[in-house]
Amino acid sequence: MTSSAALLLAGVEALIPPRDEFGLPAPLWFFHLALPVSFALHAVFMNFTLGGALVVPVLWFLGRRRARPDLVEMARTAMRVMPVAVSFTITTGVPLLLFVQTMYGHVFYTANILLGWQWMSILAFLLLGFYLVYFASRLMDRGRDGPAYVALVAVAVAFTMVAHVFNNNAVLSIRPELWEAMHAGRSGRHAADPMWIPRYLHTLIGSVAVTGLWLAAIGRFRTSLSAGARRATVVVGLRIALAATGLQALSGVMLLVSLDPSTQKALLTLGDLRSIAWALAAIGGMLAIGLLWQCQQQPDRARSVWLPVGLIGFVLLGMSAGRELVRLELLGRFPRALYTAADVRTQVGPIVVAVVTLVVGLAVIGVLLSWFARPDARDHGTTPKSGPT
Amino acid sequence: MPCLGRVRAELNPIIRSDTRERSAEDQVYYPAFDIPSVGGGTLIAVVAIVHVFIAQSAVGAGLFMAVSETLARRNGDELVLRFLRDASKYLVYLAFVAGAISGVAIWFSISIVSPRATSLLIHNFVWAWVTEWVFFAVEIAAGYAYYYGWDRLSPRRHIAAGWIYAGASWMSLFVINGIITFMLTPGRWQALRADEAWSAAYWAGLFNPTFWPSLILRTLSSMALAGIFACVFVNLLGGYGREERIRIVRMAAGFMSPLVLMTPVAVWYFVRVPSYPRGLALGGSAAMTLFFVFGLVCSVLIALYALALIRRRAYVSLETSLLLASMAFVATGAMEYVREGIRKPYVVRGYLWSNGLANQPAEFARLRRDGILAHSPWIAPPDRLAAADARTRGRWVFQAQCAQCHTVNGVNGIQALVTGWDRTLTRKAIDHLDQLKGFMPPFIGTDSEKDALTEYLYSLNPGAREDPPIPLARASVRAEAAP
Repeated sequence: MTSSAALLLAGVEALIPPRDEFGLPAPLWFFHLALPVSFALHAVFMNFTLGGALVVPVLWFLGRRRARPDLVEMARTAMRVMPVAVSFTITTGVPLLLFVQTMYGHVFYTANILLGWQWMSILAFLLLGFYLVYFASRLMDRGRDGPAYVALVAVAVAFTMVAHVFNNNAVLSIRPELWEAMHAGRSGRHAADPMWIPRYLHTLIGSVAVTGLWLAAIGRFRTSLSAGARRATVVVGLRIALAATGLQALSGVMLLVSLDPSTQKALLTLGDLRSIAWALAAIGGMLAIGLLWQCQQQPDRARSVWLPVGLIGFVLLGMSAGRELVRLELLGRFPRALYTAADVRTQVGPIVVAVVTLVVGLAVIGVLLSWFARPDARDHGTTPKSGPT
Repeated sequence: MPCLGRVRAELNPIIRSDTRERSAEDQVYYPAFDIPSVGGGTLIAVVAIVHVFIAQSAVGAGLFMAVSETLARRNGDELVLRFLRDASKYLVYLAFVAGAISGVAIWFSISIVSPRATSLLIHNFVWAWVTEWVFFAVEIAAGYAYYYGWDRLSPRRHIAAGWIYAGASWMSLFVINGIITFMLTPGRWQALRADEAWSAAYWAGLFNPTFWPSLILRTLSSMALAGIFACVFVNLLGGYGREERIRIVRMAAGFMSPLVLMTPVAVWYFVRVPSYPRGLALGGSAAMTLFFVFGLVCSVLIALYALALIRRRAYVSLETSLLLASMAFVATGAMEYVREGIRKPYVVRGYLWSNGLANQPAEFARLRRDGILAHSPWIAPPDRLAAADARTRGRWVFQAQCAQCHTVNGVNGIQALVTGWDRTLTRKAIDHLDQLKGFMPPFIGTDSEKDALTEYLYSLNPGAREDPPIPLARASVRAEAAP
């Protein structure tokens, strides 16, 4: 590194608020593990929320335009699942938000403040999108095409805007060298970063790929649909996933090229531990393309859905780990930006309580889900439906 | 601010990029998020009040639905079951959408208005939030099971889903209540942290002196909100005859009436609150006292009204139920305002002042030696610091140390507060801020920063422009700006 570059980085570092004086309440390795895991969990639902918002209007449009009832039914079914997906997108986003704040709060908050109202606008877009999902679903069920299109497009705009602002925040959070220009009022400087467009594209295309798999899984699982509609949903879902995963490979290369040379080197150096997670995910992505091609030709087999879902789940986890590695690599240029082992103040008792609560909570959620899968044979009753007496 | 980073690096020799060791000297305060005329505090207050209102309604709704369905199934009461089924849709719309998003909104707003306080809470209580999140996730799952399960679950399982929802949402309140009350009454948290007893400090902070009375107050409030919303829904939903509505209203009134306990529990709460903040609510501050009395009276009135409804088998119209809901909203806002207000001058009592500076000797010493502007590069660009006139420097000092609570001429506007003050009075007020007004933190900075702030505040005061300026300590200004 030249002395002028070192001086510049030191100058940028002078703007980074210090790490929190209270330190980390768990070992570093825990947060390095928890961040990718919680991101992958969040991504499962977030991708359907975002990708669904992009795919459903197209399905609905094609279904209506070409008189394809299977596509119309597919769009309707996806839209009925969407409110729950949005709910769980928000719910699973909370632990990610907690861990990001714990590990990177000082850079994350600075990025939030620099974005200011743009950052706060996420809430408005989220609220608008969430209520419009219910509204659009109702309009679709009632066959009101025109208003349904408008509502569906509005949902797509709202959720892509949320993704856009999160992308801006993600870039700013790992690029403190962009802060000064942002603060000076030259807003949009984050968009000049080479990573900005590939990262956003990667988010959008990835969400469509995952949505394809969601559709395939819905087709497999949704017994209320006719056999024909279920098969069509599986086929269309797998084909969407196949096309989007192919495009995702290209956008992944774009993203890799957009990274600075030292980060590229870290990700591409064979034998470097940091490269393994990312490399496995990339190989998994390539394998997924072949697997999806095979599976969409044999859509009636259960494993044609579960194998790609499992493989893409693995890829998602690997890419989340890669995302974390890129963050560590870029923030690692600024020593005060990263916590060290000396900052750890482990709270053993609270960790035990949280873990026990998590295990019990997951078990309870599992029981609740099982109730919907297996009817209760012991007692049945009726519940009066609404309406005038 | 051209080349701010490089200039700052040149100006500040304490930056040590070659080491990961954190130094107490390298404190850099966050950039400020400025909301002219409104202020960041107002943003947080609005978001928080809306969220508390919705979230507590959802907690109460869980209890209401679980109890009512259990009794209705036992008694074969089809009317109540029909009502619960209809109302559960609104639980999803209100609690799962607006409640969840307003909860995220709190995170977003506090992180840009009070980043240091948010960071303190996160780094001390992230495990509480993880625990709370598990309860929240169970609440959402059980809520959807309840909503979608009317036709798909057996009555036994449906009742169980209702109770799981009720239990999880109340446990979520239980945990969050610990963090909220910690900020006013942190108990032995600081002492235990000083002893490096990290887990013990966590528990002491969470189960702090006001934990239990506050939990009961919030539970009572949640139940009442659920009852009020039941009255609103039975009128809004349609399809219910007058006698049917009377029956539902009577059931709802049963949930509102425990609010009569608000007064004794509030007394218990204030017994546990330290004397200074207690004094603010009980006469020391006119605004706090008024809000507190208003909130309490509203609660008692709602309870008495509910008791009358039960006794007289009376009916509540849509207009009256909406009025009750509005009253409850304003009362919730008033009580939250009091809770936030009496915490002043702290965000976390004893540790962090409301302006984001820590009540710690090391931080005091640093700021008194270097001045706050030397540590606020986002507000005071180092390359302009030496050349800036006193008024500009004073404006920066105001942004760094006062703007978290005060706007210039909007909400809690400083201009109105210093009207009529001459330079001498302004300077004396800055010198003795915490002694003159107990709800203000002390000014922490150099003498030249006090001079500059005096000049800036004086400039806001159009009525006193003729006074000669206090000579500024130019030498110390240069000393602060120089390496």
